[in-house]
Amino acid sequence: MKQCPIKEMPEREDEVRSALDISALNVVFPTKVGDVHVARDVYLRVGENESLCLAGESGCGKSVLALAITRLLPKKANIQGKIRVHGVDILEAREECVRRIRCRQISLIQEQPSLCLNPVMNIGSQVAEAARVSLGYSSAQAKRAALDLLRRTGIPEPKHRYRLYPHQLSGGMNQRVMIAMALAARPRLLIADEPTTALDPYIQVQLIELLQGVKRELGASLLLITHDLDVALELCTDVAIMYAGQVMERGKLERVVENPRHPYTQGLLRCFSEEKPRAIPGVSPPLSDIPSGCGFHPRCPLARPECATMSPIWRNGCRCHL
Amino acid sequence: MSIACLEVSDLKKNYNLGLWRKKPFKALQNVNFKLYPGKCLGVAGESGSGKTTLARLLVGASIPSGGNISIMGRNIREIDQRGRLPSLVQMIFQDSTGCLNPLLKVRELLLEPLRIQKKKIEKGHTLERCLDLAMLSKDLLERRPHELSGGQRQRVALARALILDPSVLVADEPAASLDRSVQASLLSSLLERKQRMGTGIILISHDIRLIRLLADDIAIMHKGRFVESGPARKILDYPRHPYTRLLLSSVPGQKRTRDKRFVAF
Repeated sequence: MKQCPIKEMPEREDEVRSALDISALNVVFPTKVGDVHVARDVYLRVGENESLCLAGESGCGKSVLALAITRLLPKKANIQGKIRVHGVDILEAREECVRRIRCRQISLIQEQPSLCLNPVMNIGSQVAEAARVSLGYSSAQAKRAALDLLRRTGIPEPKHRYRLYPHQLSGGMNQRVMIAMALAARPRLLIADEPTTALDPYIQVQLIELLQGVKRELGASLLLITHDLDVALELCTDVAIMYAGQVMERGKLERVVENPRHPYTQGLLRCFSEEKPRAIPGVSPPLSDIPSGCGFHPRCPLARPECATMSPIWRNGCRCHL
Repeated sequence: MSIACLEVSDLKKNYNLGLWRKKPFKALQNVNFKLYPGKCLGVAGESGSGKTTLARLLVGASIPSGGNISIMGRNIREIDQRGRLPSLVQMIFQDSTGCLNPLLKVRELLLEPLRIQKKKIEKGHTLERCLDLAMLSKDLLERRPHELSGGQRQRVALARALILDPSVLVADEPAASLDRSVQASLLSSLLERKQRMGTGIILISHDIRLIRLLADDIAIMHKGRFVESGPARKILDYPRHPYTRLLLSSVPGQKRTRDKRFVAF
């Protein structure tokens, strides 16, 4: 593989220190029915060894952001803004350079491991492949590394399981394999896109503990994408709440849970807090047709006339007029 | 006390796995419970504990290897499987994409159960009622399933189940893989149905957080058995079986939020 200097253009000191720095990011998909604004004016920052949770309803553009960070969005997507990973501008960098960053620095854990794993390759070889490609190991070295990774991610009898195929393992086990693959390159930034959704809580807790251990051991930064703040509470220190392609509130997780500022965050936290389930009225808007002004105003219990016309500015870690 | 709308006694289900394996796999063993109208039984357990098998038996989708199920005092085997049974028990599934015909519009999907049951379709009235049941908006009628969001699809599935006014509704993981706020709105529909119409609900879920909002009684399943069952309060506050304790303690976020508002265990 062609070597490419990873430090291409670290400009300022603090940019070098933050693992991920997104500023003024806009992503638009031009489609037949009109432009779909998947991300609108997104600012995010994950420092070294920090962990940020990106929370929001499905269809609010969380996963697209994960793909944008790894520059895996389709070519037709219109991306504006800056994404820096350890000081390197992902959107400007050369293809080999991005490839190398994907290989060595960022690892992505997806929601549905059974769809992401290769069904005709045994799990061991898949983990070994990751080690071979990213670290340049020989096949014997890679196999040893893969066995070690499988063991460390808590897969019992790794020697036996090495030869099994994804369909022979449960969802939780497959997710462990995905995590093992993600760790093969010893990444410095781990992006986990709904890693525990659709698993039962017992397995969720096991995986959360695994990710906690991984974070400690590698000293990696974590961007957790989820709609379940309970999972975030275990793993993250900071949170960004996303709604209709915009970050609505950002801050320390403890603070946001204790004292949410944005009406959307308040509604989200109230859903299960009382005796009766209490949903936020209405449904989230399609990204092709976002309401004018504040995107949340049609569902907001506190909406005022100006909310419908003026887009709120960012104030006190919260994007709201009130 | 009124008559139980669902009574299950000594229910068993065995699966024969493979031609050469002599011992059958026991998916369900000795399950007993009673469900009264307007009540909800929450069934919790990890995946593979036999929850879905139980659901399938209750709606007559598979035949029990032993034991009895009676619905409104009548044995399930005596009830006409195609004619009468669907208007007594209905089920909603986890994967709403898989159970809605992708070729039909929402309007046709909602009327399909009535058509199959040969009930009279009074056009506007029934449809309106149908939409009302699931709190769907009118402009969704001309759409097809793939044009709906996950929550809306699950609502269509719920409306289809409720249009025949079943006395028992079996909900198998209805809210898994939905967002929290969508989960909450689905649950409040179920809650309203339970209170207003007196439908007995069996809520099967691995998520204790959902069950505690809706269920009057809780049964904990493990390896095909009910290891503990009783009133919801009692089980949540004073779990006795070690497995129940394990299940209750393994809820994400609960360590730090034990005394906080939104997950109050």
